[in-house]
Amino acid sequence: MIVVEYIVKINEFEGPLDLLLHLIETKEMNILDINLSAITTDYITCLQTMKEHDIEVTADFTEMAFSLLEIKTKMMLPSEKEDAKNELVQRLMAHREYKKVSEKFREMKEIEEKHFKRQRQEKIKKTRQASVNDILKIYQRVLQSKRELHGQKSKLDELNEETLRYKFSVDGQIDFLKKELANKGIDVYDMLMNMEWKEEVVETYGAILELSKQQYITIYLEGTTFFIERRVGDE
Amino acid sequence: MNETTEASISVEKKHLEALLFVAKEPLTLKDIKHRLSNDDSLSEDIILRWLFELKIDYENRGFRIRQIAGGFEMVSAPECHDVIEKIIPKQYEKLSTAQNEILGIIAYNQGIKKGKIAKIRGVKNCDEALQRLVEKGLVTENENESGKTYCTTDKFLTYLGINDLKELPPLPSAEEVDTEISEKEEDEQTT
Repeated sequence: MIVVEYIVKINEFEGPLDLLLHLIETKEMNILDINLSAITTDYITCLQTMKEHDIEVTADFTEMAFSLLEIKTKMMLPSEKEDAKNELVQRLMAHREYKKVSEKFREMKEIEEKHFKRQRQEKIKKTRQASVNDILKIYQRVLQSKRELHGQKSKLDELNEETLRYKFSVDGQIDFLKKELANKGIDVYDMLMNMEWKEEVVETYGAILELSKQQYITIYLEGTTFFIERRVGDE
Repeated sequence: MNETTEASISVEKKHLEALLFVAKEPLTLKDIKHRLSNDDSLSEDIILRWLFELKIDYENRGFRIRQIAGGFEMVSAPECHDVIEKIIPKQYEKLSTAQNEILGIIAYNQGIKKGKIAKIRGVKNCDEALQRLVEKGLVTENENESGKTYCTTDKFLTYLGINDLKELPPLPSAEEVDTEISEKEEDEQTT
């Protein structure tokens, strides 16, 4: 009994065959010459102990208990004596083979893990949540560099801009962003930098803030680049 | 090839070395051939010879060329793993016991059906573990008229660090167990 208790507590069995095999090994029985009645008793005791310890006893385990009892009964009939047991023995042996193989795989994997390839040296792009504050910083950076460019512009350009002042609106940029976001994330810095007009940048920034407020988008950082992306599960 | 000089051979061998150095996937002989020459002037035999020459050159060095999943690649020497593990964090696939066992069963029984896997393991439901293996790309699921069958992939070979399935360790007592069991199960499958 103590042995059974110990077995149940220590091991997590991958199924009834695994448990049976373990019981046989514990009793140091030869797999080809199992004492079926001893094993059956142990097996059933194990299942009971598992239940006591709130370990899930699946139908597979119960079915095996039934098979064991069935084999035990059949063994009493001289005609079926060997057949009944043989199938079980063979299944146990096959199970033991694959168990050994899977241990072998683990060893091979361990050796393999000592070989390093180039691919593994690549840095994994980490993404993390970012906030509107990050967008603000990008916005300021973009405006700053636009202002520097602006200094080189002629009077005529400025006049042009004047006429464009009312071409862009927050609502308009919201529509624009929604379209852009439909199937991909947007690199915020890249997008703002590529905008020709300051007004466009300003209104787009407003649109991002509005969409963020509406929780339509999420902002995240990948590597050193900030992205906005449509919130998953929206609408 | 007869006009090729000694110098140009070494240039191409250099190219081969450079290719292996930057490649992220194992390169097959065919890959190498296509990348080294536009025409078919290079024979795979020659590439193979260079590969083995390079392999010998790198013996007792910090890295080596090895054959894996049907291709060639450069890897750091396994005895140097201590140093490298400090720089590169381990990020390996971890398989559960069930996954590992199922992988073993599929490896030795390519094209096996789900029912037979369950039978060998004595556990009916192996869907989840099987699904994980498929997701990890170690196993493929093929559908044919008699149902779904499972095979291991090239990634599985890379996973174990072997070149082909022949390099799998032999089943401990395959001859006694495997044949009888599989015959028996085949009968049951058909009925």
